[in-house]
Amino acid sequence: MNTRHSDRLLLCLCWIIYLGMILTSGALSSFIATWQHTLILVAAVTFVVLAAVSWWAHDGTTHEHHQHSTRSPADQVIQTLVHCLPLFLIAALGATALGSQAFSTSGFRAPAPGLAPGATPAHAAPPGEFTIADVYSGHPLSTSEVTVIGMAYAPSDEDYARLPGGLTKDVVPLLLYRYQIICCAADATPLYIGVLDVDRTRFANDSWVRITGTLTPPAPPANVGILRAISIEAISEPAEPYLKRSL
Amino acid sequence: MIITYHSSQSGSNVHACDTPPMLSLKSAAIRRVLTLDRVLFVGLLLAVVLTFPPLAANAGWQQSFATYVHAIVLEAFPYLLLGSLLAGLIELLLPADFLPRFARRMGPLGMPATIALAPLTPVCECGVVPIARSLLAKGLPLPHTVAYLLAAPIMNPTVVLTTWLAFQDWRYPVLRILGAVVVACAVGSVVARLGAPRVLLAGLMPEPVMPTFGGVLKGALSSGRGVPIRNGTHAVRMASTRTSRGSFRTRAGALATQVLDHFLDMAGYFLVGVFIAAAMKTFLGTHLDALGTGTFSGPLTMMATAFVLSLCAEADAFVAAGFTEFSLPAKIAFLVFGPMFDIKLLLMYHQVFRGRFIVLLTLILIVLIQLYALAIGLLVGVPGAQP
Repeated sequence: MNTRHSDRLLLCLCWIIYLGMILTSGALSSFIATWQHTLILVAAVTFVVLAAVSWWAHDGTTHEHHQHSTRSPADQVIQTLVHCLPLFLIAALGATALGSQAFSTSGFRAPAPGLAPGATPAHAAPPGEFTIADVYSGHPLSTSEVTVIGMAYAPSDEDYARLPGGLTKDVVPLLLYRYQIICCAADATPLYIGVLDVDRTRFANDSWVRITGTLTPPAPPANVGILRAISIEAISEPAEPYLKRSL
Repeated sequence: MIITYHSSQSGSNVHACDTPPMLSLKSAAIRRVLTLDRVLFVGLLLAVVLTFPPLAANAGWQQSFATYVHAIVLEAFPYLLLGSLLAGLIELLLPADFLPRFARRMGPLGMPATIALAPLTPVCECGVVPIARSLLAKGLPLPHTVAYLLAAPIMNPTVVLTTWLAFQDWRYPVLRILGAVVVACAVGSVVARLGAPRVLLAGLMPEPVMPTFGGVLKGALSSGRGVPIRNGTHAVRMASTRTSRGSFRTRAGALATQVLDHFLDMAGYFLVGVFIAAAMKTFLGTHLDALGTGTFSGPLTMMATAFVLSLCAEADAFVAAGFTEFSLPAKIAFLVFGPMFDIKLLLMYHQVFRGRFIVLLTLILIVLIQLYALAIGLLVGVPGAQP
């Protein structure tokens, strides 16, 4: 086995272990929309097959006698380590998901009403369950009393300065937010509503909660839905942390 | 990874400047060790290891950063592999004289014709780089290849469909495609004037290069040799060509090896780009709209946003639709610029193009797309923001 061939196999191994860890840990939904899961699985299997065929063919032939590597051993080590970085992250941090840091950095942009005109937002919640995406779907609400799931976030004074007009600490002590994604977490958009009549210190930021209350649809100047809480309870993180928007 | 130090060139420069020999030797030694590749890769490794100490409590930004990294890597993985697979198939199966003949027959219409055929390779911007490299290796003239590289992600039928779905307005996909064709052809024409030596890395240079009316034509194609891949895999292609009439095992092995080499070559730089893009997204978010949303500043802001966000072309239209404070021309600038140039592409282009050309390409794209956006603003008459 020459250096180039062993180098290739080592890099392939990095990728195979990484993909294996992601696929077997059930963390894929934290990063990628459900409709992409099959695509990634097929690609991962293809990659394994290609690596196996490359190894198999090399093992039985001498056609790579002309091969040479232009990399020094040090460069090969550096390159291998770079390919191992995603593996390092998943091993060091485990399955991660977007939380309040990304929400705060997003700038609290008021969700646009009718995010995709003419399209009904699809989401991972069971049929009939109301989600924050439904608040901004542009469709009229059939009832004002709703139950919504999301993550709690008590904005800081700095955050209130960046929130859309009229949303002060006295008016909206807590925000309920959840990300909506199209392809992956990199295109995630936080959707949020303000929550009234709630103790902002009761839940830590990023705690998953279920709130039942009376919803006031988005209206100027803030264009943010407001939920007057009747009951609120802590829940565990759902299997699908993000709302999925259909294409 | 390749070391791009040219000892003979620097040696002649040194003597011309009368630099003391010892100093020049030291300088040459430093430049030989501190290549851009090594600085990038080692810098990234150090940054990640230092900011993610094992067993330390995870900060919120670390969660965001890691999530962005995994999301972008996993989303691009199938397309990068598909692009590598198509590149491998092109190199192994396409007759050596097919693309040069195609380019000669099409004449001045070669670039638009190449772009029109781009939907045959339905990959996003990550997967298009290895395909472009293979097309170049198979004799597609460099201007045509660059035009294909820039326009192909936008010509992807899935991208066209998602653009329409995101806006439910036919103007967006039409103006996006038109912008891609115009800008790609313009950049291709500039490349034709510059010539391959000023554009391509030395390791990718076809030999000899003969200028023609349409740009450059590879003399190497007459021998069927093509362009070597950077990290020593040229020998693999030679072997695969030689064994193309061999057993199934050797042919399958040659294809698999070719595909993996394309993938691994691109993936290293892609990962560096992904880590930088994830850091930018983690700490900057989409605050770039503070740069301005006006008629002139809007397109520039949206191009900067597209560069930082480094979104996949399949999803970027939905994100653009959410920027309600920006006008139609600014959103078109976002949609045209993003698939042509972003952080991860910058690093991937580094595998193909010279640094100076990448700088020039950036400037040309910004100017052309800005002008295109302004022209749309004048024609459509949308000076301000619209939903």
